[in-house]
Amino acid sequence: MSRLIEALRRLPGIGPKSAQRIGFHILKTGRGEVEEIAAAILDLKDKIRLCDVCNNVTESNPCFICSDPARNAKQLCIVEEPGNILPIERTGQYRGYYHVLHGALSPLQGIGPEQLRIANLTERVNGGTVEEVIVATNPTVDGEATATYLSKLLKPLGVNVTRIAMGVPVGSDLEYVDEVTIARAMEGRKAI
Amino acid sequence: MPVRETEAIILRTYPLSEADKIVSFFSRGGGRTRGVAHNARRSVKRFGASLERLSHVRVRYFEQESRELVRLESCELVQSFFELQSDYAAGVAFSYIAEVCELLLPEREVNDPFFRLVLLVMNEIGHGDIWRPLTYFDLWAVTLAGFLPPLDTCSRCQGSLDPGEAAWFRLESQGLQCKTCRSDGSWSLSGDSRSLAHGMMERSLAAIPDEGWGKSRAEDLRRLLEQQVEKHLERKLITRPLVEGL
Ligand SMILES: [Zn+2]
Ligand SMILES: [Zn+2]
Repeated sequence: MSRLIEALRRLPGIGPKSAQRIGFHILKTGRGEVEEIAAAILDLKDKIRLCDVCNNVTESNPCFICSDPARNAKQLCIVEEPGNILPIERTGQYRGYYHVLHGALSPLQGIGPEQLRIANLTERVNGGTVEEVIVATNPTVDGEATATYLSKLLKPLGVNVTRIAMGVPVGSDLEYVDEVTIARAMEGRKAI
Repeated sequence: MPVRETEAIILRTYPLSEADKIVSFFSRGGGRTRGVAHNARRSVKRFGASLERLSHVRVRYFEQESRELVRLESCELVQSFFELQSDYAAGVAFSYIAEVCELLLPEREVNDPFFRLVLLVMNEIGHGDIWRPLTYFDLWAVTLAGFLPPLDTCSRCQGSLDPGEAAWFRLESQGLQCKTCRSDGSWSLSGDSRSLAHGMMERSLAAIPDEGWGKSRAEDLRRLLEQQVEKHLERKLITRPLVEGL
């Protein structure tokens, strides 16, 4: 039991209490169901790989997005992590392709440009079809540095580089928004 | 629970749970401190951009008896360095400063000169070339931490080094060495860099002209100083290779 709890605690977002709760739940669960969970985890490790084109996690290569010919090949959206694609997909407003960096420039973690998946990005942009690169890295110090870095790298290749707008969260009150965020929101304003 | 309100510089944050963040900060009135910012991951309402790396802020926090972590009550921006760090070189320089502060400063020890040093250097980095302020930071960080080797004496023969004369150093040796005493495989420290170090010790950063600066200027001096830092810490700095790679 303590071995399982220790292992579960290594998962993101799982504290000692949650680990214990999951541990006891598994103890009560039938063998069949536990086997299913274990098999799903192992399957993930065995079958999932990175898409050669966009670096997204996928079972097939290229991934389902890269192999969809109905998408707009002129637009390429860059994200930090595979998990960032789904929220953008859910909006249903973006129909271009993606590129996953697997991180952001983060000097304090020793992550420089060589540690990110940038090589196949320049290859794609050099391919000639892409007209606009949308940088959707996180609005943090590291995400911003990554965006500026990519813009310097990609603009000379003849593409338009844009940054997703940053600003006031929907449902919030301007009174509580800090000046950095407001300044960004003002900068990203648009005609109505 | 004593409450403290003071200026601070955010060094870095780590996720603690789904909702909370651990914040490591250099407090002017309380030294390097770590605390919990409740709900900082989930809601931007209370902390917003103020917890981004190297923000100059005004914090209010509770010191909890017998607890290592304080509780952050509020954090207001005094000066944001967010836009500045979107430049990769400046971002790497800032990260380097944050790492040195985090490792070099003892916990909960007030160090006003070091606080002023960091603020000064961050502002200077915003004004142009990073190498002049970074060299100044290295020199004063090592001086304030108390392990700057004598720059005018050979550590082996105790002979004095003339102004403008080169000196040598290596990781294992305690200080600088003269031409006669130097051993094989030593790094050299040019006479120019020694004079520059003196200039930086005697004058304010603003009085050091910014013409003619680039990465190659005083690279040997920074190597000496950064080696001293790593020797003192008994570990390598993660950001140092990235600074060297700029
Ligand atoms: Zn793909
Ligand atoms: Zn000597």
